[in-house]
Amino acid sequence: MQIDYRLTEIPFDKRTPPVWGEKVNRWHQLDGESFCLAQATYENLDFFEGIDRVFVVGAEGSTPTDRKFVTDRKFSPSHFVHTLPNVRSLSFSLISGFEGEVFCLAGASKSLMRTLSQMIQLDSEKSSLVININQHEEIFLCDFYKVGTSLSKYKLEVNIFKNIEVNETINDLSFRNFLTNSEQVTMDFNHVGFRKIV
Amino acid sequence: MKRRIYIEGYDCSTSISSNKEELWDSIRLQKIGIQDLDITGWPTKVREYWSIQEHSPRACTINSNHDHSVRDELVLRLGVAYKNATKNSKLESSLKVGFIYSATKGAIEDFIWEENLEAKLSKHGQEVEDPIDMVLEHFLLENKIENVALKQCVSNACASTHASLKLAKMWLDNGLCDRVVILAADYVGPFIQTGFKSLKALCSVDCKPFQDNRDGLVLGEAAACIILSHEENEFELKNVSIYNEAHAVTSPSPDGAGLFNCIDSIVSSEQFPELVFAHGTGTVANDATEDQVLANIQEKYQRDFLVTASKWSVGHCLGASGAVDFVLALSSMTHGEAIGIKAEETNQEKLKLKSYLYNEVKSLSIKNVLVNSLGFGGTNGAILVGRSNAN
Repeated sequence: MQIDYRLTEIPFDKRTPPVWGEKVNRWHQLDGESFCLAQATYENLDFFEGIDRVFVVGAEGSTPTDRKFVTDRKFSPSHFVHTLPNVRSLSFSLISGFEGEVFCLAGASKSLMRTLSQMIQLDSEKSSLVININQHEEIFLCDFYKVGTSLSKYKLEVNIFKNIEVNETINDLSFRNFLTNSEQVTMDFNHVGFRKIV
Repeated sequence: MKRRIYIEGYDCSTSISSNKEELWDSIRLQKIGIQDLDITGWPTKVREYWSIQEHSPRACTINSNHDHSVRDELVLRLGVAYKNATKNSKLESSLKVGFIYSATKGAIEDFIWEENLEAKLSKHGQEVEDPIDMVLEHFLLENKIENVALKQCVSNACASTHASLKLAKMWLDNGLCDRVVILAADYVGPFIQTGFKSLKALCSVDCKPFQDNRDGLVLGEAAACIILSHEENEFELKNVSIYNEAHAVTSPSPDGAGLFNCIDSIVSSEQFPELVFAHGTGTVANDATEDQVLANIQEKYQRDFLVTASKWSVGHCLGASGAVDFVLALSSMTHGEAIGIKAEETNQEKLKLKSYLYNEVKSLSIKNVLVNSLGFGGTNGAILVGRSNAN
């Protein structure tokens, strides 16, 4: 199995209308996660061809937006609607044009690892996209992982040895650190081995 | 060739019932679970908000122990549904079991109102308890479940159960596990109730699915468990589809293309439902769209079917709404009956489809049932469940 990925860091800045603004009705009401996912999607449109299904994960889930709804002076409907995780995925769909199977998954700091370890065992005829969104102060990390067996380009090879389990010592952050660390070529967790294509 | 998937066990509790048999009996008697919510323990700001609203908050809630955290309350309710569903299952002998928890907001009420929550929120890499994941983790702990091959939490709004069933099917089809347990439950508290109020989605008095004078939904609580496996059983998950359309945030596309797509991809002339459990929230937009879609399906396949819904009785149970309708679909086949929507007025002139069932219990030979869902963010789902010896 192969994985290609694009890691992005998007500052949350709604001061000027975005170039994709016409595609998203009421873009100014988007929360940080949705806005930055839309921007990240726009910047990587070439990455999404041939996707059969999408999985959306993220360590904080919608908790930051949930909190905004709670601390509002008045309870804002536009804040509440963005507390629904699948509404976040709509940003991706509206910009990329993808319509079809979208799964919104929760799982705290291991949601990405849990999902990737499951995806790499699925139907090899289909190509899955995993979107991971996390916030670091005013920057949003919107990362895209394409999983399949016949990708034209890929950066990771994955081998499965035995049963798949999520290694409790590895979380999504340590996986991202592995991807961005030029010194480290392989990473194992339990019976899954990731190898970078150098 | 993919192996068939059967329903090995199922159960649920709602505001009007503590198990599936009680649910059937209660809904047959047209019981309604709506009650005024006790908001004395709600945050001051929320109580002040509701004090200036035209109607006080009402929902179909399950009586709960207020000494419990919401997390523990959900785990308790799921534990009961799980115990009932697993009575005749072979779960204990299973080597590879997958667990999926379907919810919209889980145990969010336990912490979202805390004074200094911002200090605890993630700053890139710190551990954060997810309100949905925490319920699944504690459920597994409390029930001493150790043979977990896979686990996942699905939050696709109203179509969470549908997405969970789709994911479960993928796991079983690909041999990742030999059984999947789907748990579904949400809790109606100040966050959820106030949120839906802010969207102007709640009804003024009662929920009236597919009635011309409908004006909104009522929220509800349920806790459900569904067990799937390849072991032959009375009922089979024939197919399930989910489809997200890229239209708008709070409303489906007017022609309901996403839902039509879902249904069209899983029914056929040879495998067509006699009964449909509509999503039927009672909002103007949902019911109009769903009515259009069902009329289009009838026209395409030139087949008649009856349509009913459950939210007038048990409310919109959010992440568990699909599971409640799934349980009722199986009960309909078991009893050979379709229970109609409670309605004051049954002459629904604005509806395109004319096969809604109101106010009666109709004997019906049912081989297949369709269960629909539409949700915010353009999420759609359809489940086809039927007798395992049906064509």
